[in-house]
Amino acid sequence: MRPRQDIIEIFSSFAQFEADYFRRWITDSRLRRSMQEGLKQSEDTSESFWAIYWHKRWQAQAIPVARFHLTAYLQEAGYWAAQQTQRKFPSPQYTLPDLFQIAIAEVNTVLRDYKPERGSSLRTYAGLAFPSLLRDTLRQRQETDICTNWSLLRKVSKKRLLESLHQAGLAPTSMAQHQLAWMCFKTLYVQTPSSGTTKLPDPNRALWQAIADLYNQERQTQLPQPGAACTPEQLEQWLNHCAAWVRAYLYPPVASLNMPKAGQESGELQDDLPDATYDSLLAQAIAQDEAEQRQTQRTDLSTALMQAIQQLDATNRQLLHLYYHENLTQSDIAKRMELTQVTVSRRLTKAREALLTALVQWGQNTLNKPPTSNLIKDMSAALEEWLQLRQDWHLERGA
Amino acid sequence: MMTSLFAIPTEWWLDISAHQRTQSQQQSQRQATPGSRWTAYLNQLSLDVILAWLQENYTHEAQAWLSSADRATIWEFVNGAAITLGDKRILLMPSEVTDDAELEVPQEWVDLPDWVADYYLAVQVQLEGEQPDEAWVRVWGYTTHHALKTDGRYDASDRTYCLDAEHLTRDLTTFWVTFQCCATETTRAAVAPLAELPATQAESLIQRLSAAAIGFPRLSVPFTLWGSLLQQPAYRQRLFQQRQSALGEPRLSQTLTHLSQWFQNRLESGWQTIDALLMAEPTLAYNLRSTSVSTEVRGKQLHLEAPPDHPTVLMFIGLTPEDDERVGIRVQVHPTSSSPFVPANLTLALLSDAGETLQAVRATPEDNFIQLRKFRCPLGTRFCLQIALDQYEIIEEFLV
Repeated sequence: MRPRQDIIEIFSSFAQFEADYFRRWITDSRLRRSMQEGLKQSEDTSESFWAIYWHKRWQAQAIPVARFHLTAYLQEAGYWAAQQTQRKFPSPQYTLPDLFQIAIAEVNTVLRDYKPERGSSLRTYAGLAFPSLLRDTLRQRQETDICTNWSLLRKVSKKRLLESLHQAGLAPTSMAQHQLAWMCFKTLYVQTPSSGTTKLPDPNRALWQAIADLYNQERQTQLPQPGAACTPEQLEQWLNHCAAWVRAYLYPPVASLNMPKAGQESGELQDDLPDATYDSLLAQAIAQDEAEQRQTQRTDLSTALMQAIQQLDATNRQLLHLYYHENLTQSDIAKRMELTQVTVSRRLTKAREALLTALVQWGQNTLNKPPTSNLIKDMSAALEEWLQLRQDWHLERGA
Repeated sequence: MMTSLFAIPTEWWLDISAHQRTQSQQQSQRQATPGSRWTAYLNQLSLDVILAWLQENYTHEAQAWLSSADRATIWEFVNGAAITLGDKRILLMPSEVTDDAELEVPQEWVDLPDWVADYYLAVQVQLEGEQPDEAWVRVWGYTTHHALKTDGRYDASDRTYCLDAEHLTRDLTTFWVTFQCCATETTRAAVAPLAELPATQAESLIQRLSAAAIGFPRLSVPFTLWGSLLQQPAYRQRLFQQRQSALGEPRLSQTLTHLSQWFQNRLESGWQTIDALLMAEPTLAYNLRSTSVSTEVRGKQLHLEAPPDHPTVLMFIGLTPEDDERVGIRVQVHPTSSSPFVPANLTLALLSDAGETLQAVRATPEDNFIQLRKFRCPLGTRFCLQIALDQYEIIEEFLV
């Protein structure tokens, strides 16, 4: 993939794939015009300035054009995340373009969770967030791809079920009825603790009857509008539908993922920037300065972490190196180091805690900041970034 | 399904030992319904695993809140297991949900002053691995009581406080560090006390709510009444006992055991081979003499709720294929290794599809096992086996 250089191209073009490979960049003409207009008002051609600008616009107004510009901006980050994920979790089911699409579909989540006050750029943040979101999606898809509808209904949260029903177009009354049916289903369709790991068989006639009986009885008190009584067959059908709607909503086939393609789905684009934004553009530049100031703080943080990591025992340093630099899964690390995965998991967690504790101490001593829970969270995020991006901390001093 | 492939250091991925599974399985037998049994199982497992993790890696001060018996009275009605750590409380919310969308906490744990916790942990329990040792407990986020009340949404349809994942702290590395360094930070929001329930009102509520016809006791009366009842250990205990009596009918067997599948080496839920059972119960001596090598023998543990011992027995079934598509069947009931004798007065009966008793046998004191006379039936026959002690019985359904 050819990384882009021109500022206009960076914020207005999208990756196009052929077969399983990156083929070319395609520019959306409306987004290009939008950038050209913007550049007339501010001559700053730095990527970081425009990333901050569009992110603030998105936060303030959530207008589609801001999201499209940022989606264009984050194409490389998504691509590299897809590559990294494919290497770490190879799967015949998901090609590189599949993983790329899954990643880019999460742009909103990335934008929502990005905290500029933490000091790192949107691109850096996305570079860490995309692989994490991809991993989560793969984990969930793997658990649900091959399970039955009945199993799926036991694994879905209430929140996602209701979102699925809503997307399927159910009216509120109908949604309440389906939710109650699901509650009754989950109460009765349970494993017995002694059954070990054998999977639950599909519900039989007797169970559907029991579920129907429970539903018909409870609807009188639990539903604002009880509605008609249900036969076991109707309930089975309702729940089958629920499962299908959940699959369609949560785990749609990758090819159908909604991606702002070049030229399509552009919605309401603003071709002109209102005057009021000029002041805010200035404010962005100031913000940028502040961000650069935070950079110096980060160098000190880095020194503190470098020292802390040398305090860990060599095995833990090696485990961290294999996990963060060589990007191995914990089970691969376990094989390589001849440890159990449980041990690897525990050591990595504890090592990370030790580093965080050291960082909090440093914060207390040098910055005179008493630790608050929010500060600790910020420090842990900084730690994560440092572990992933710095490549040299595993080299022993004077080794 | 190697989903522990996705383990990351900012979440706690904890394995479950076979011992913890067996313990939790046994504890869960006290509950009255299949649903509450499964809840108790998940909760006990999560409690054991996470307590062990906290004690080994952080502090031995971490202890389970309430006695084992008390916890059973809670799990009959609501999900959630609490751990005390010094003067703080941590609540575990176990679930099999995989989509990490939100944390759901039943109102009891948020609005009952005596039950409120400081921290709430989102816990996923995964039990469906291909290997028995692939079961694990995953802690993927946490929050405080204060955040739950402030940022969470109250859902009246199931009386839970729901907090979107984006408001949860997803980085478990910060948990212990925060716990230690920020001890004075506010974790709890204010909770109004609930009125105390007079004994007569409590008793009438208990009678009403323990009826078998009540599917969801916690949703059947206004929360102020329910909460007042539940927060009193004595009332809760009584409600639990009443519920057990009301629901002590023969358990609806969710699975119909297909006997002829045993010849194809298919192992069904709960049934184990002789070898597996002998490993778990080495002092067991079984006496199913087989007349041919094609006999398949399987055993199953059955738990009877009869006080005071709540005994467990082993039922063995031996199948022998015979001429003209019939199957010869032998049934025996043995004690487990905790006793050399079958409980006295235990009965074993063979019932036809219509419920008619075809054979029955009763244990005398000091019987090492009891058995039915061998019987034969054609493929496709349905029958039931009934094991009973006093008024507690278990009925297992079979299809040949």
